[in-house]
Amino acid sequence: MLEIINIDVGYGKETILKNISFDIQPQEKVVILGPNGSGKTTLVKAILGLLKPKNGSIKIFGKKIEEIQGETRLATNYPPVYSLLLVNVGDLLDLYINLKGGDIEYAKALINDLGLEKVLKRKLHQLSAGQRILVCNILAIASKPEFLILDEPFENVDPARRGKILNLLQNYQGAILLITHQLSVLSYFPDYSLYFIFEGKIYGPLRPLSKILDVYIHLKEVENPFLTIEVGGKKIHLSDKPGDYKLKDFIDITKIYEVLV
Amino acid sequence: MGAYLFSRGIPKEFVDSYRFKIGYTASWYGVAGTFSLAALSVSLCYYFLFITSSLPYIVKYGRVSLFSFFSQIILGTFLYSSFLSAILMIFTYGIFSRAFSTNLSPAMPVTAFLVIGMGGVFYYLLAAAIIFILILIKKVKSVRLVSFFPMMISYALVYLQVFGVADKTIIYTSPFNNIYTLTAYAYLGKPIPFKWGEVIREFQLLHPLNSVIILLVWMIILFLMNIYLMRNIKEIPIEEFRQL
Repeated sequence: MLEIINIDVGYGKETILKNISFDIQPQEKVVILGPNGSGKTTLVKAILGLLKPKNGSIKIFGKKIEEIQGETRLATNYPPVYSLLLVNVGDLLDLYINLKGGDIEYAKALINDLGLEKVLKRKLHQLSAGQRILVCNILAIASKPEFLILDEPFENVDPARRGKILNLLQNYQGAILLITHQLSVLSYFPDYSLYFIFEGKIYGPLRPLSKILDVYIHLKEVENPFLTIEVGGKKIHLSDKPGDYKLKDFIDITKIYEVLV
Repeated sequence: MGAYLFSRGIPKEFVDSYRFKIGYTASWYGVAGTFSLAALSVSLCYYFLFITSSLPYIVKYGRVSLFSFFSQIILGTFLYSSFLSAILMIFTYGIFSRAFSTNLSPAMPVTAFLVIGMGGVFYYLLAAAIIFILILIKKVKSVRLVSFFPMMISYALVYLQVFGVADKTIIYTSPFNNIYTLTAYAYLGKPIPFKWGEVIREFQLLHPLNSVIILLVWMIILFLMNIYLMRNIKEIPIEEFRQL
């Protein structure tokens, strides 16, 4: 479904993602967890074909990313892709559902379920950050794609609506690539595979997620770690042996920098 | 301005001639039409900067091809420009007829709608090409200046023609001048002269069919260029074209 082979991605001379490789099979659910600035959104842009890798290749549904056209089986909540016309949210739903081939009634039901009826008459850029990401989540999910790419779908979302989105994702049939820095949501996705992304490098996969959350972080060398990650010039090790911190005690993976200082 | 300010300098022997008055009005309609479309192209440039994420996305992951996207937007631009030409026509007719106390109605209003519609499409394609080239050469920050180029060039070349000092090559080949020529022709109802002073003598006329062909050639070149450039578009964050 998604096959990424040794890609380097960046802006100008700067390389953000270095030698990234991983794949996602049909109906597989994957979380990529990384702190702010680790390259998560850059990875989304590369997968969507908005940023050309400097090296390596990306294939989606067996086709090279450069050759993809009219492939409606993939959708994302990445907000900039929903700026084709400066219209209100209601019209934007109509436009994108029409372009992606989704069900407008389903999209409206999601809007109602999330209590977003009032935003239908407003433009996307006029919404709060939380409302905007909720609308983009709906725009992505409404076409019921086989492959859903969600970049920070819970960012700035209030707990009640976050619960509803979590519910939707738990029952989702297709493959999901969920990219976030929020460790607190991972317990809702016990069957997902987990990758870490730190400073442009990807680590993983670790599966199932339900077991990974109980592992410990070791700041010093440990025997047979699951994974060793380089963060800020230091190495941290993940192991099921009791260590310095329990992974699930971090609400936000960005906080890992605090314990390393 | 054309009706009440510039008309004060017209020699008295011309002011009383209907032929002169309709030619003068047609010329102003051509100028207003061309410059309105040129002004529109400035904002169109910005539109293309805002869709550098969404356009590649819907082409890759939506049920729309680049060709059909451009074709539909072109149709929309054509209709919008035609609507604009109708408003301009009403104002031109009203203001100039009142200023000269003569009924100066347009001879071929439908042709005028079609011509300005075509002009709108040309400026749309030009704005798209400018932005796609800026993205390609990584000079997006220059957009504030470069987006005014179509307007500046239109002003310079069309006024050269209006004041009778433009070279024949420019009048024949420049798309801006051909839009002006066709718009003025539609209002006047007959081919306009190379120099407006010759309107009385009907000397050396500009054939509208030539202008249509030249304009179409320019549009086809720009259309194909845009389709090619679009394939190499990269996402531009809004912040990137801020100057300060």
